[in-house]
Amino acid sequence: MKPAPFQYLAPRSIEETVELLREHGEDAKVLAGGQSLVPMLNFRLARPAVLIDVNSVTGLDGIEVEDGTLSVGATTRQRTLERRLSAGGSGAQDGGWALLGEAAGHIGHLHIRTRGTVGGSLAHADPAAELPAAVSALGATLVARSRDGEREIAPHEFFQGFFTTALRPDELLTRVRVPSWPEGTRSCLLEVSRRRGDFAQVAVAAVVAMADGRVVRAGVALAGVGASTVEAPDVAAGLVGEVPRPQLIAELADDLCARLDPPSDTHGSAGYRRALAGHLLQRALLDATSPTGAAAAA
Amino acid sequence: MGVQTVGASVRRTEDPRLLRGEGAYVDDLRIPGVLHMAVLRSPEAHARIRSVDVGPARALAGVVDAFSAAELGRDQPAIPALFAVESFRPAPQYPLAVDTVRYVGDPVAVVVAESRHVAEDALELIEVDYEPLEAVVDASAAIQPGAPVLHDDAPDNVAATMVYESGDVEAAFAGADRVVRERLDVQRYTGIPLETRGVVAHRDPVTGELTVWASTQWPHTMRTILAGMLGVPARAVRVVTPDIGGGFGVKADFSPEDFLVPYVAGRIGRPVKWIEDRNEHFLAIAHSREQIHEVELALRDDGAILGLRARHITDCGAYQRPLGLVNASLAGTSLGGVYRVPAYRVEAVCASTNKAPASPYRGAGVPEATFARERLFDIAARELGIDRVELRRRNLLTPDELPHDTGLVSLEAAVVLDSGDFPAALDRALEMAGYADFSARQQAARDEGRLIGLGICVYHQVTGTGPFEGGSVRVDPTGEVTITSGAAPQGQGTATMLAQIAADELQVPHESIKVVFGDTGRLPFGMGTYASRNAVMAGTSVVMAARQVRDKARELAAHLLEADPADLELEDGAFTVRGVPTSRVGWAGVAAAATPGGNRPAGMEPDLEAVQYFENMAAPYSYGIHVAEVEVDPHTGYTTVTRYVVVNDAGRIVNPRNAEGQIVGGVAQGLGGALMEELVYAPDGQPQTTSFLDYLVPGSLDVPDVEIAHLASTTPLNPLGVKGMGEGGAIGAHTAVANAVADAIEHLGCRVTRTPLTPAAVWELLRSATAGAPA
Amino acid sequence: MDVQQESVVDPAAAGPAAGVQEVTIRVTVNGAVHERPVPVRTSLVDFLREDLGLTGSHVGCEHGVCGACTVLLDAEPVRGCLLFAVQADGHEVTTVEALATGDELHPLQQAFWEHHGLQCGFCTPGILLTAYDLLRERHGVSEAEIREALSGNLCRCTGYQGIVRSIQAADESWER
Repeated sequence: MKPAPFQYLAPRSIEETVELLREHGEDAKVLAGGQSLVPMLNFRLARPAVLIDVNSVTGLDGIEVEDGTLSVGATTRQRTLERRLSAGGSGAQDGGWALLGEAAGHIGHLHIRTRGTVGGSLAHADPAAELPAAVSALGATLVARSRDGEREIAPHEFFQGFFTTALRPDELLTRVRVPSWPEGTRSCLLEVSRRRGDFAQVAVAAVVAMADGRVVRAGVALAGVGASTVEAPDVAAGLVGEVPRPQLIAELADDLCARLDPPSDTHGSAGYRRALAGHLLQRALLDATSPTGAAAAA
Repeated sequence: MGVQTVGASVRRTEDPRLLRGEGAYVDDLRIPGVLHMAVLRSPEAHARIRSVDVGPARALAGVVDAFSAAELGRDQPAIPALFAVESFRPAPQYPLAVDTVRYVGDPVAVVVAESRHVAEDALELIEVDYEPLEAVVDASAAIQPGAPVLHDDAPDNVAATMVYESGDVEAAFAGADRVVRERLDVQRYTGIPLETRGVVAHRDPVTGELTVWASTQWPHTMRTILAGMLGVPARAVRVVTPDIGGGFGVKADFSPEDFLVPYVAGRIGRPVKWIEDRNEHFLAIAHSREQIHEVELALRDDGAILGLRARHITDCGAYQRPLGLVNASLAGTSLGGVYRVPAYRVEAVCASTNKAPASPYRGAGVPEATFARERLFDIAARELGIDRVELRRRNLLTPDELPHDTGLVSLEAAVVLDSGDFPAALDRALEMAGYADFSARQQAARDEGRLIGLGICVYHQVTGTGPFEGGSVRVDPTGEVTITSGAAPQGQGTATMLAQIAADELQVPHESIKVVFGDTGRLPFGMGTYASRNAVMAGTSVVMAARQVRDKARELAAHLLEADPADLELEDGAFTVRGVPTSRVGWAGVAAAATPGGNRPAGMEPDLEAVQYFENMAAPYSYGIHVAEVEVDPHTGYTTVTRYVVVNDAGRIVNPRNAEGQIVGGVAQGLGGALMEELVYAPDGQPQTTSFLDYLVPGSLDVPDVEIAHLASTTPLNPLGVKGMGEGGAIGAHTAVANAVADAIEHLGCRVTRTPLTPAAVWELLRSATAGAPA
Repeated sequence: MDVQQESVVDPAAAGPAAGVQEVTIRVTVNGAVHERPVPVRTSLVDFLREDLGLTGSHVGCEHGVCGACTVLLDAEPVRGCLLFAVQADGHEVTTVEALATGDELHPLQQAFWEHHGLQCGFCTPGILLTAYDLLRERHGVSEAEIREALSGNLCRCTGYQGIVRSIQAADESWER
């Protein structure tokens, strides 16, 4: 399990990186935390001619708030995100953003999160991954840079399928921007994995903003139920303006699950995943819409 | 008082090195100029090899050698099977596949290169032309007429059929009030030690001796097989085991690489290393456990067992390795457990399939048979309307019925239950687990919509199998004691245990004793570490050797002190004339006198060393009770083990804490088998579980604390009174956990008949129950 | 790192193995600075073991699951198999060999010895470093926190019970 030969490049700046991407294009792979890529290299399932290591690129990491928008750099470590944005973390003022910390905390194990990056997880686009679901639910924007400039991509455009994104070979994912959610927003990420700490069989990310007992804004996305992260705009739309009664939530969940086409594999059938999705979605929405979060604990 | 350490939980002498990172596992050995071997493995489950071209690989810079079966010659030696029963039809594996590959992972060619990286690069350049053949992966399908044939010598894919019987089974079933039958399947899973396999070999240019360092549980057997396959005398091969990072049975095997590394080292005259990577490990390590049991129980209405009749098919995989028949045999003789079974007949069929070869893993057929029996007992109790504990208690052998000869003889040993108190162990475990009020708790949980269950497993295991083990005890002229043992432990704390045993005999601190394992150059005969045999076999050989050294030393001390040997006391490292404390000589003094030319009585041979072989075929059986409590999430099917109790009886225990470590570690593996571990193959023979992402072993969040109590029915079969116990944890836990899950959900209308009970599998059971339930 | 200072054998010369790019790295391991060339595809754990002879870090899976290769990179636990040695250039690495002081075991190691925290010992170095990271800045960790922290390290021998006890004991005995 040793990787095939490759050329290793370690640029220092974003400009230098996008030049290298332009030069090497599809022959190159960006190496960030390496927690998904290096296993694939070791199994020789991936064999890029060139690895462009972005860990030393300045301006790619860090968590900032600009004009009420949260901006997370691509090489920000997942463990940093987890520490800063989890409940009680210094960046968790926004009820929606806490979802990112929660999602990060579900990724692999501590050692993986220490090294794994936010951008790496998003660009890898594993359909079972938590962060893509979280940024989708939050209505975030993914920022890509190439020599030609910068473009912003919405999650549903970015995540195109099984390990496939909208990034062009000459583009680098530089950051993800997350809009602010109103006061009174609660978020919840629930998942079931075969063994604790493993990749989710199904995960549900939900963000709900409430005012006067009614939902004013919502975002829902699921992982592990399709070829890509699955956004559920119908569920969100079905909630907005409503009092989130359990009956309504159950109906919305049932509706969505009937339309899902999850994968079947050695770890579970499509039917199982569909059932998990329905169960987790109900629990997550009950939690996110209850002022105390008591529902999820039950 | 003197030294008395047997029975004490002393710290392990092995640990400081390992904790410092100074352990020396086979991959840690620094051998100058070592080359790296890599193996090209078949990507096909079953195919004819039309051609292999290693030329491009040979041409790569950094490659030293590359070859396929064609270069080994048509008569390359086959890996021998060690047990041949009358019905046995060979299904031998050659080190490199000749003409046909029979499983994904079957070695086809090797490359030796300056680095492992380059060796793997070169593998990609080897061109093999395969003609795919139809594969068969299901053992019951494999033995049906018309199935694809793996070996011409066995056109029905049956490698052997063994029948174990006692009493009149037909009459028992004819006279039964009730017959309960079920098909019960155990999945393919295996040991998965954290250290993969590894072999390093180097031919000494002066002596011509081939030294082989291997992560093996049986260096002497490996030496014998290897010398035979290489066609050289045993003295030309020395096998040494360094530290071993876990074995659990799967390293008591002989696989193609065990031949290929020494062979190629001799062929090119340079040291060669092969460290199995984890991907190879999942493809090619000995797989285990996979059995299909069709079991029938003849019962009287009061629950008394009249007879047990079964047929099981063991999926042996593509080839018969040295111990390929053992799982089937031990399952065949252990189905009856420690119960009174007046009539018994088990037919054990060994089937060949296009999957990795199977061999024993911790329990070796006993976990499978135990699952079949103890699961069936729960099903029978439900059908009879008898409490499952009552059914067991009614049929357990009582102490006054022991020793109990079942009349059955496995490939390993006769099944004679020598000692124990099975009902007392059951009572103790149930008391610890709070069984008396469990049904009330279960009902209360159900009223809240929660599913909890309690599972019981009564298990026994053969331990300390023969035919022998060797040990030497030596006292150097400076007084230091060294034990050399034929054992090859993999983390059991055997060095500490043997030192404790010798320390008591020699009255020296156990920490001062050096223990050396697994070196065929130091001890001519040995068997190794498997079948829970260290305490029984290695321990007894060390007792024998220590006593012989002590007796000789006493004679010599008496000579030095001018006293009668009978007047000498050995205490705290010295012989003293009773009542004359100043008349005293320590081990150094005695051993110095024992050197050639020393002051010895006339006729006494020089040196102070004894080599002893404990030859014994009467295997002690240990037993125990496991009780698991679980909670099953009705929505996700996820099982959490919430409580775990073990009552274990392994006779006298040398080091209780180490023994408990064996139990807890075994429980974790059994829990893995019950809930998460499975080596999955697609119908076309492609393995689906080739990494830790797909093959799940229990992590720290999955395993509960285990509460343990010991009974000690000292066995008369060896001077220490010890029984082995390394496998019981894994045997008991698989079934206790599975029975607990069943207890949590079967009232809903489903039936647990196979493992692993993954969340998805449990959810499917729950769904089937809901679907079948009246609206 | 300065990518201009590398030596590259022409990758096109003779198939895949010939193109072995090497880069000279400067890395601090257990306090000692090492400067030497490494092939870029050499993992950090292989570099530590093969080049520096620090064989206490073990290779158990090479896909980041088992944790046997756990080392500290700039004081944080990482998988040594999922990092190339070249990426450690300019960084500090701590391995199990750094825990003991001369003949004296680290309190963590001592606790593992006293409480049967290991059997075969293969996973132990990685587990020690994970526990070190957990306890270094904290006191009074709960069993649940210990088990959570350990969940990224597989042990096949102990069933984790002895490991958990050992870490609990070290939490008491380690003055920090």
